[in-house]
Amino acid sequence: MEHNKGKTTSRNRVIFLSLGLITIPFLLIRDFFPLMRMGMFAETPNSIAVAETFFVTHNHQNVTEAQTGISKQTLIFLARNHYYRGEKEIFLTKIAKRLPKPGTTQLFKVSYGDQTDTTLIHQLTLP
Amino acid sequence: MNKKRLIILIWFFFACISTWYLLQLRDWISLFNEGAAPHWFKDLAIRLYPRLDSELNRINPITLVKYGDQLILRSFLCLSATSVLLVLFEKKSTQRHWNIFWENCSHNQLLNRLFFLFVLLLTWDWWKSIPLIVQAKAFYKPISFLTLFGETFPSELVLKTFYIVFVICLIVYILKPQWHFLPLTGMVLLIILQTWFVSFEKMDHGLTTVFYVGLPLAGAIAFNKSYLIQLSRVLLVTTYLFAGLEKLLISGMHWMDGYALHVYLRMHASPAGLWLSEHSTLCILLSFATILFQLSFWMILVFPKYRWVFIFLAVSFHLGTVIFFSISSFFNPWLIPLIVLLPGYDKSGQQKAATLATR
Repeated sequence: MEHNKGKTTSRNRVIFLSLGLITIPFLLIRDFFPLMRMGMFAETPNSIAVAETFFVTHNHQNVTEAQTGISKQTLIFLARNHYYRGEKEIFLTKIAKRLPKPGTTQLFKVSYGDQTDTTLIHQLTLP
Repeated sequence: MNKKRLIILIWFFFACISTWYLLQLRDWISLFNEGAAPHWFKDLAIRLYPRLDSELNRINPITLVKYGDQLILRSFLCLSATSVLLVLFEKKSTQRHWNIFWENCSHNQLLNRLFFLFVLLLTWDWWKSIPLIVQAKAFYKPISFLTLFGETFPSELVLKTFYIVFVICLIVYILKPQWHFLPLTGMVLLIILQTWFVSFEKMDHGLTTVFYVGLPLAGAIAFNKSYLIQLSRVLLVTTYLFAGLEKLLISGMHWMDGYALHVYLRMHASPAGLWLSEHSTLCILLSFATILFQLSFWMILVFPKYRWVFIFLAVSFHLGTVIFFSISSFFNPWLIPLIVLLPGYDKSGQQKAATLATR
C-alpha cells in the first residue's frame, strides 16, 4: 500500500511538472524552446505586427535557400528583425557575401491590408 | 503546509502583484516607448521579451499594455484552474478517477516503433540541411540557454556527429525494441540539434508536438512507465487547447469574423488559399470551425467513442494548412504525434480489471 502511494506521488509530481512546464509559454506569451507558445495566427492582421512580410532579391531574382543556407521563413524573420533594429545594411551585406555573383541585392517589405503594398527598403550593390 | 493554506498564499501573492500592476507597472508599460520606465524594469522586460529590443519602435503603447493585461488575465486563469484541481483532489472519488485515467494506457511496441520511424523519416533530409545552415552561421544568434556554451556555432562535423548518433539510436530501436534507452537518447539529441537550428532569430514550431509526445513516450519506454503514454496524450491535446485559447485571448471574437483568415491566406499566397480568401462565407465558417476544433480536441480523451471523428478533424485541419497555406508538406510533423491517440495504446478490458484489482 505504502509502496503504491509513493509511486502515485512521484507519478503526480511528473504529471504536474510537465503540465506546468508547457503552461509557461502560454502564461508568459513567449517561446522557451523546446516549450513553445501556440500563438501562430492568433493576432488579427489589423495589428501591424503580423500583416507584413519581407523578401530579398539579387539581380532581380528572389534569393533561394540553396544560395544563402537560410529557409524562406527564417529569412523573413531575419529581415524583419534587422529592419526594425536599423541594421538593413548589415543584413544585406551578410546576404550578399553568401551569393556567388556580384550585383545588386535588394530588401523589400510587403504590407497586407485592404491593399497589398510592396516597398523597396534597402539596396546594396557590391562590385 | 496543507493545500488550502498553499492556495490562499498563492492567491494573496497574486492579489499583491495585480494591485502593483494596476497602480504602477501598467503606467510604466504604457510609457515604455518614451523611456519613462525605470531602468531595472526595462532591463527585466527586455530580458524576458528580447523582441522588445528590436521591435519597440513598431509596437504601440496600447499593444504593450494589452500584453501586460494578458499576463495578469492568464495568471488568473491558470491559478483558478490549479486551485479547482487542488480542491477537487481533496475528494477520494476524484483521486480514484484520476488514478484510473492515468492508468488507462499500455505499451504498444508496434505503434512505438511506427512513431519513431516517422520521426526518423521526418528528419531524413537534415543531413543535407546541415551544410546549408553552417553557411548561414553569420546570422547565428544562440537562444538564451545555448549562450551558456559560448557564442560560436558548432562545426559541420559536430552537427553531423549528433545527427548520425540520433539516426543510429532510432534505427537500432526500430530493429531491436528491447534496447529501451535508445528512443530517449534519440529524442534528447533531436532537441539539442533543433536548439541550434532555431538559433537564427526564428522559432520553428513544426516539431513542438513531436517533442511533447516523443519525450514522454521515450520516457515510458525507457522506464517502463505506462502513465507517461497518457501524459503524452494529455500534452498533445493541451497544445491544441492553448492554440485555441491564444486566438480568443489575443483577438477575441474578431478572430472568427473571417478577416484574419482572409489576410493570412493572402500572405501565404497558395493557389488554393487565394481562391479561399475570395469566399468570405467560407472564411467565416472555417475560422469558427478552427476555434471549435482547437478548443474541443481534448475531449478525445474523455469521449474515446468519438476518437476517429476527432482524429479525422485533426488530420483535415493539418492537411488544410498544407493546402491553403502551403505550410509544411503532406508528410506533416503535426500528424505524427496523433499516433499516440490510436486505440492500440488503450488498455484492454482485462488489463483494466487487473489494474483496478491491485488498488
